[in-house]
Amino acid sequence: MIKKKSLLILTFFVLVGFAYAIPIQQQLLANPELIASLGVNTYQSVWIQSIMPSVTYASWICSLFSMLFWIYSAQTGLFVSSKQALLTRLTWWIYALGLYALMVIFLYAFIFTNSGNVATEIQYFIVLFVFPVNVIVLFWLPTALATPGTLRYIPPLAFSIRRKLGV
Amino acid sequence: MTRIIAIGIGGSGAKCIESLSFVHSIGLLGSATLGTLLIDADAANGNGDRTSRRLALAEKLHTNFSEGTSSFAQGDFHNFGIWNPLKDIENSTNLSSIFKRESMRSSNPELAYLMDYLYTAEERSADLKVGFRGKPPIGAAIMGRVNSNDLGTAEDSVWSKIYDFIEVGIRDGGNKEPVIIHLFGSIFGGTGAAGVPTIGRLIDDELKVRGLRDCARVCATPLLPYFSFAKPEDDQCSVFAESQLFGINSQAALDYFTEHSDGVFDCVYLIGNTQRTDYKPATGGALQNNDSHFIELYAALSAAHSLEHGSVNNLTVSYISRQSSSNILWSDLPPGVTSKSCVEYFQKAVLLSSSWYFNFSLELDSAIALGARKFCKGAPWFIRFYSLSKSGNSSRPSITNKSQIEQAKILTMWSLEFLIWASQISLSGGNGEELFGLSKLNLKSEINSNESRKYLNSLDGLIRDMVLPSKVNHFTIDALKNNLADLNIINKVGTQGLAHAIFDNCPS
Repeated sequence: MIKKKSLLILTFFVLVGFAYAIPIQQQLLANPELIASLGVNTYQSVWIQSIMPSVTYASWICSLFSMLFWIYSAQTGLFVSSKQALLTRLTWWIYALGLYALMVIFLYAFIFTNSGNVATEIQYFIVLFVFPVNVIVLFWLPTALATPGTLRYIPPLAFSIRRKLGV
Repeated sequence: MTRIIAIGIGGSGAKCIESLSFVHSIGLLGSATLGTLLIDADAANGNGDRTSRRLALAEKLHTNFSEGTSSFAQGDFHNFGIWNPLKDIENSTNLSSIFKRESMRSSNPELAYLMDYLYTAEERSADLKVGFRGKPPIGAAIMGRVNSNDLGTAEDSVWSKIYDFIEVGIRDGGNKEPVIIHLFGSIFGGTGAAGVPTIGRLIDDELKVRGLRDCARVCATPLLPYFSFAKPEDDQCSVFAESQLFGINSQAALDYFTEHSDGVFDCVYLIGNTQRTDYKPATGGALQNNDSHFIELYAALSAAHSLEHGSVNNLTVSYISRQSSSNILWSDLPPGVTSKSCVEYFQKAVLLSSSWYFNFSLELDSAIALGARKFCKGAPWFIRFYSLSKSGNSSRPSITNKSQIEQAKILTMWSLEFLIWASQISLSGGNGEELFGLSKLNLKSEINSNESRKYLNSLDGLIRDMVLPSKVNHFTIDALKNNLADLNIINKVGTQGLAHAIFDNCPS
């Protein structure tokens, strides 16, 4: 069984992640000043605001599943040695980069299919800024602070952060 | 502090002491201090040699691990070594030369005739460097020569150290903590049959002379026949232990015991087994290296019993039997001190030794090779016991610290010896594995390179014949490591702290 403390931290980050991914991120991308700084016209701005809920929900759901899958693997896996546990660092990076790739594929397969080059700046903004931040907030942070068992220090910087915070 | 002086006489006596050392190390004697002495004319005897090695290891274990938080290795351990009753006899290692038969024929011909009548020519000329060849009459003649001067007054003799040990125990205990002198030996062989009553009587006399007898208990565990073997192939001599004579030997030895130990022993434990285990035949020497037997474990546990039972000057003869003559179960074994169940301690000890030997010791080697900082990221338990810096810090030592490496090495060696011993005990009943299920570990008698040792994770099935809670039956070393990593309080750090934390956190 996952420890109570880890479960509480995990629940906290799922809620924080949801709050960040849905209302906060959507509000941020509805900010007229930000939209204007990206050189987007009014028509495009309306279109962007119409697609953003799908992008943010999809991004949050992908992150949530990746994170839960990692936590489940850590909880149920048996590691006979430190060396064997250290090998899962590669697995963590595959999860993180896979999650990022999944978001990008979703974006181009379902959202930007007919947009042509009308929203190039928006594409760059989402791919190079929104999604990486999503991976950090929705995947790295909860896994770094709430991975249970032997893999608790495997996510990058988890050792330093957890020891500092005492979790 | 309670003190026990355990004296193993002959090969079987040595094996009892070997079992007693493990019983003490896993905590079944509580916090008692154990002192051990082996008595054997055959110093190179395989049983005695193995026991000496294990006693030296147990002494190191207790020196390094006795101040922990669990009952593992609690209580001090003093190994007094081996005393050879023939040590004063130079170049005379057969009965004729020891008793100067040639000169006796002229000076005291009647006695010489008696000797010829009692001993055959082969027995008179048999080389006794390999022990008393399983012949109680030979043992009786040699041990009968031993007198109180041999159990020495010389300051540097092993016996004077033992009497000092007893005196200190009595003085510190203030008559409240018992000091027990417990003798072990087979009654059907050569050395033990005569040695147990003779040495018991001499100790009794010496304690009376020193005015200590009322404050000490003298106990004995004479072993009745529990093994047999064919004629040794390694010996040209016709004088050898004959297992078909064990019954007659025992009867005669018991008569001798009764006659010579009247009023000597406060507590006597007679232990034997109707099903005799076949041992490889050998007449002393390195080849006489028999596997450990559960009867020796019973004998060792009699010392735990004598700690709490049997009052001074009140002869007690205790009997114990198992539920079924065809197998041995945990419920057949008597408890340790304060009625602590045997299985609880053995389970913890088996889990500690197997997890240490097949995992933690390899992990510590890996920590040294990888560097503590890198290693600990895959081993959260590590930082609870060791420092990450090479020099260590005030609260935790570094794994590269010499004393930590030495402690880890001692525990690794002890774990292997314990597992081998337990494995032999488990097979000694002749009905496949009983009590312990250690065959899956593929134990080898020597520590080779780490490559030959495979990492172990599952600890299932190491204890047999016992319905255990599911948390015990499905216990993994990974789970154990996580328990250690999540401990709220670590009272002891370093290798010592780690060993005790493992012992404490193994389910029972």
